[in-house]
Amino acid sequence: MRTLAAAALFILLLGCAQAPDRLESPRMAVRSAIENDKVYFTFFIVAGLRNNHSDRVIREMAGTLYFRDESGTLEKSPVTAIPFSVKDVFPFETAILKLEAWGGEEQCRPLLGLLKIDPDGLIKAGTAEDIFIDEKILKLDVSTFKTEKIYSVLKGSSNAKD
Amino acid sequence: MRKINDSRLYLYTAAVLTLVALALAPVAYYSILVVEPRVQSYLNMPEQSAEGYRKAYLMLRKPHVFARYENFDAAAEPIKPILRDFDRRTASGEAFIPDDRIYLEILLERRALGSRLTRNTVVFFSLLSLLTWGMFLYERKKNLQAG
Repeated sequence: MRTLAAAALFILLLGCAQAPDRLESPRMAVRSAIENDKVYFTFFIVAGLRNNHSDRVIREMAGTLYFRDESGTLEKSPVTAIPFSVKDVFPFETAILKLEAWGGEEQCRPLLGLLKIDPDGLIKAGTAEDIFIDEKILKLDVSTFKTEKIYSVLKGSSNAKD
Repeated sequence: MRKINDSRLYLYTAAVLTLVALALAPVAYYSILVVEPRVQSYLNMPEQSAEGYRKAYLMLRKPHVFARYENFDAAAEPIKPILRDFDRRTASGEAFIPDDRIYLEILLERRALGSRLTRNTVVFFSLLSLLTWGMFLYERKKNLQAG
């Protein structure tokens, strides 16, 4: 009985303040560059983070966006674990997340393989744009966030105005 | 054959139904008699409409318990952009303009729908409780006559 009550309370608390756990329409562009005979790739990721709460503002959200393969064993690197932060996401709002990560050829090969992009072709072309990222290869890990009642936020700004 | 005495069952059912009706009635009538007229008066403020609209929006931002904004059906999906826009503007201190009135009226209409739903539920439970009280009294009278 006590376990059931604890589980119910946990679910209630979880429902009260939940950060977004997925990205909306994630897309990417990749550019290659050669410097000192070494190849570098830069990844530009654009995605939406939606606040589905009707009455809570999500504030100071931070975390890491991971790329992972089916077994979840993709090695962590600056291009497969990209930190992000978002200041405020109001109710029903979608914050646009713009991330940039770059790395050397060796670091980027596993990710390019995951995205089914031929590295040699990309080096020749220089750029690959408008790449749709399958949600299955993404994992959004939100480490910190705060929530605040929208009414308090609006009331606060109204009082400041008065 | 033993005669079944249903009066206790009727009594408990009637009591629960009455309690539900009594609990919901203030929720419905506080909105109908206090909140909605006040919002309407803010919307009708002839001068300083921006200030009236801001106050009206602050009141509407606290939704009716039976018309919460996340509970909307697909037909009411356009409510979400209104809230999104007005939240940002109110938070940044941007003034409301006369054209905003129509959107505030949509929010008020949703609130009114929620309070009318609650009022109708109160009526339904009240009628059910009346019926059950009647059955209880009839059963008790029958038992008194029999025994």
